[in-house]
Amino acid sequence: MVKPLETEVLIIGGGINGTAIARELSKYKIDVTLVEKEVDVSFGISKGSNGQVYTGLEMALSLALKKVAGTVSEEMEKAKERICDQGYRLWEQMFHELEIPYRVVGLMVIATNAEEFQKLNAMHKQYAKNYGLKILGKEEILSIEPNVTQEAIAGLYEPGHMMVHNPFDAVIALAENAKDNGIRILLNCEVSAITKGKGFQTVETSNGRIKTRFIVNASGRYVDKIAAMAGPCGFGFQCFKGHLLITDKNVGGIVNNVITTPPLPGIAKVVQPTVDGNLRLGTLYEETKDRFDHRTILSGMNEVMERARSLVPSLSPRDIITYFTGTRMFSNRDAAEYIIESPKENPKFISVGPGMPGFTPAPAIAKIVVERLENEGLQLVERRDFNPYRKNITRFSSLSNPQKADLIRREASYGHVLCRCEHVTEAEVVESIRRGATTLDGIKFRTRAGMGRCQGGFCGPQVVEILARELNIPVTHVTKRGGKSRLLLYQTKELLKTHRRNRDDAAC
Amino acid sequence: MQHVDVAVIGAGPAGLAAAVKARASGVKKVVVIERTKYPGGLLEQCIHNGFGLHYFKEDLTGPEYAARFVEKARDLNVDMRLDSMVLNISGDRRISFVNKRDGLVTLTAGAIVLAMGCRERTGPSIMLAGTRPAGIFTAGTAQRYINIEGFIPGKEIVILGSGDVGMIMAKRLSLEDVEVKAVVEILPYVGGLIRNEVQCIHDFEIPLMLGHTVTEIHGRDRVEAVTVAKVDKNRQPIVGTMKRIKCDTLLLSVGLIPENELSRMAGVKLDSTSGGPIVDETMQTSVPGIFAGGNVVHVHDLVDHVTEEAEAAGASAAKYIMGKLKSGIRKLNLKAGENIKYVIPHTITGEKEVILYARVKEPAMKVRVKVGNIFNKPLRVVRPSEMLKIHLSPRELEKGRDGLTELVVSCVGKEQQNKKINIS
Repeated sequence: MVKPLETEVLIIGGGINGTAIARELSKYKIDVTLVEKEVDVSFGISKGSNGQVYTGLEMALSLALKKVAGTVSEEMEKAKERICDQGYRLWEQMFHELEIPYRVVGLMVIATNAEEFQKLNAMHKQYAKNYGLKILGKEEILSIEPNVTQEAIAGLYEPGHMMVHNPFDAVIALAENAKDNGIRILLNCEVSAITKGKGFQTVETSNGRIKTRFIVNASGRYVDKIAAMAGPCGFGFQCFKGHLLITDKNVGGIVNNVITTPPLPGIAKVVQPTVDGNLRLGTLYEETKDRFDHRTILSGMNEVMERARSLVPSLSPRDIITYFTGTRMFSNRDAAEYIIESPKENPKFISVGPGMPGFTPAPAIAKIVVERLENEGLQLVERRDFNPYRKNITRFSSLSNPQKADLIRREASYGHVLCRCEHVTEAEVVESIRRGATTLDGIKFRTRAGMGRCQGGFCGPQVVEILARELNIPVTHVTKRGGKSRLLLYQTKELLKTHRRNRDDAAC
Repeated sequence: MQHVDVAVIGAGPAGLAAAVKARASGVKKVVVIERTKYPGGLLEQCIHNGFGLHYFKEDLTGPEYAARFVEKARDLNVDMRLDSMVLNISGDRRISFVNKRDGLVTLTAGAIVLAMGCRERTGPSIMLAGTRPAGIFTAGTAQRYINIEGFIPGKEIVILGSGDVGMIMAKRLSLEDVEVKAVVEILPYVGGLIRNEVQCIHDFEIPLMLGHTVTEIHGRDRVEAVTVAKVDKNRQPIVGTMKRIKCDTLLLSVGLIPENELSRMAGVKLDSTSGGPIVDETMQTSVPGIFAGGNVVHVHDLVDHVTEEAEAAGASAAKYIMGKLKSGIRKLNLKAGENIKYVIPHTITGEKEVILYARVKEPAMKVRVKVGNIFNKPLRVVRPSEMLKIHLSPRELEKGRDGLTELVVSCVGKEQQNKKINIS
């Protein structure tokens, strides 16, 4: 029998919570293993996040969601605001340490009728002191955002409202930095059973058995299912699905702030500039019974589009280059709750549930989890050689011409631009593979090849070829995102041969 | 900084024709910048025949057609920079491009010919709903995988859209023993040429579902099926007509878009209907010294026309740098009238003979094609897939001498034809 892998802390899940906790633990002299059932990190619920780290004002705005999502206690609300404020500050530092691209954008809440105007005034009264809010008249709005609707009568404006980023950029950066600092990351490793022994727990995975003292269950959509493997699970979720539409960069500059309406149930951030210069149109959340339902629905997309157009009329469906859905999960006990809990009989198993906002509190939650682990007997001895820094892959397209010239002189493959839309080079693709990308989506998330207006039509075949070459696998084994997602199933003439053989057999 | 006389962006059929023409017109230094490894553009993956029937009066394959221009370009010492991506073009004709060998190169050009061609519309551009698994390709990308790389995406395929590339792929895949389960077209008629409908769909007995569309994609990792539904007059799916078709691949042939990101950077004004630059009869854009030809201007159905149009652009670029390009005294705006989507060029001088290209909106029978009151010609049938080529002779233009500033091109018919057109 193969000897089980032994580790001190096992983290289940390579999403935002799992990788943030891994990175936090990598500051100490502990043997930590992170298992992820997908072929790459950030392939689950995290990648459909809005990519926002925001201030407490947002809490007031996402009231919209809470109202939909049911009970919210004031106490929980306060706790959430605290944890998010702390998370916000930690992110500011991490964005720099980990070279995660981000952009600060303001918030412009627009009222087009008297009722909405009243809501703006109420919000202003409640939050002006803490968040430097300004009430703007129509002319002021249009001088800041000339492309918003002429129907605007007033606006509420907060200049430095949020830090937008790509959710997968953040997760990948955290995972890379954790790995650099000695954390073991096992991909394609699905947990199927957990048993408690004396002083340790045994975890069965698709990659073999793992023996561990502590388990942190940060498995996103699966968190209650995995929790149930370790004992009675005391929590559950209410789930929501929303469509997100991404526009061409050609129209990315028509607004520079998040443009939205006063809080309405189920609606959040209608038009949001992204860190890359596109616009993200969203989000209209609808409750769903199936949290694994990723299907986009035409009526849902049309509704998002219409809502966006009511605020920014020049937007058109022609501007949309891609879309997807995001899932939001709330504790069904209290929508403001962040689940961090253990079964009574096993305090060394901690579940961390997804919540809303999902990214903002992640680094703060990581600190809370590590503190809990310490209370349960995990020895925290700081590593002197902890390296808080991680270098991002050099983005050729973001450099000046002299920098580009210099880079190509040093490494010729920066001279091969294989993505016509985002100007991604062969060197960046190869570097992303060196850092762990094994699929088309993995490369897309790390380099943006395939994220532009042609959606991979031009770069796709080249990226497939490079993946096969660098991973030394046949082209027919290259996948979109692991599992059964192979892209090219046959070689030319292959079907002719098998069919002919069948026909010949039939003839005999 | 290097200086060239004429810089051509793109070495597809348009770029090659423009470069050869400029060189043959006496321009000394012509450079062509091409982002892929080979000259020829998309012709390289179009291994079927049917090219050159008009231009060469011969039936050639795509690579054969391209080779004729590649050879001419070599013979004329056209400087070909392959594997080179243009990053920027400015209005004062400064071009930056990169490649592995030369690094980052910036050059100035006496004149520029834009010949970037077009790209395919994607699933999101038509708001295709459902899951997003592997196995969805645009027809052109699939064509490249099969004909250049040597791989087949799957063995049970549905094709959405009946553009020419889609129909040609239906045939190509059938020849590989791939089962083409259906070609699904939202319109009541095919999007591409009739000859392709006959030779690629009917001859191979491929089910053609006109007036249908794909409403949902199924499958988590890989495409497992698509839902197809009949559409009403407003192209909306009709409830109760939905049908699930099992397949492992969906190909999209839902239209082409002129690729004008570089044109925009250079400040070239675009026409939102054709998707390409606004041009005069010399194929000059709104920026002096920048010309355009081929699919970057508007999507053509025959490469022969691409060649002709790009040759005109190349010849004009040559005249421009020699100071011989005369801008006419008069300017006649061409407007799209009844049943016309767009007309190229956008303006003419009316002083010399000119060829107009126009695209109709709807198929129609027994029509009269009119240009103002100077041209009026009957046509038995017009289709959106077949470009109208209108030759205005000096005699006809003579009629438009006095005081005109605008000419409306229209296609006036007795019967608007929405039903399937008989192929005879």
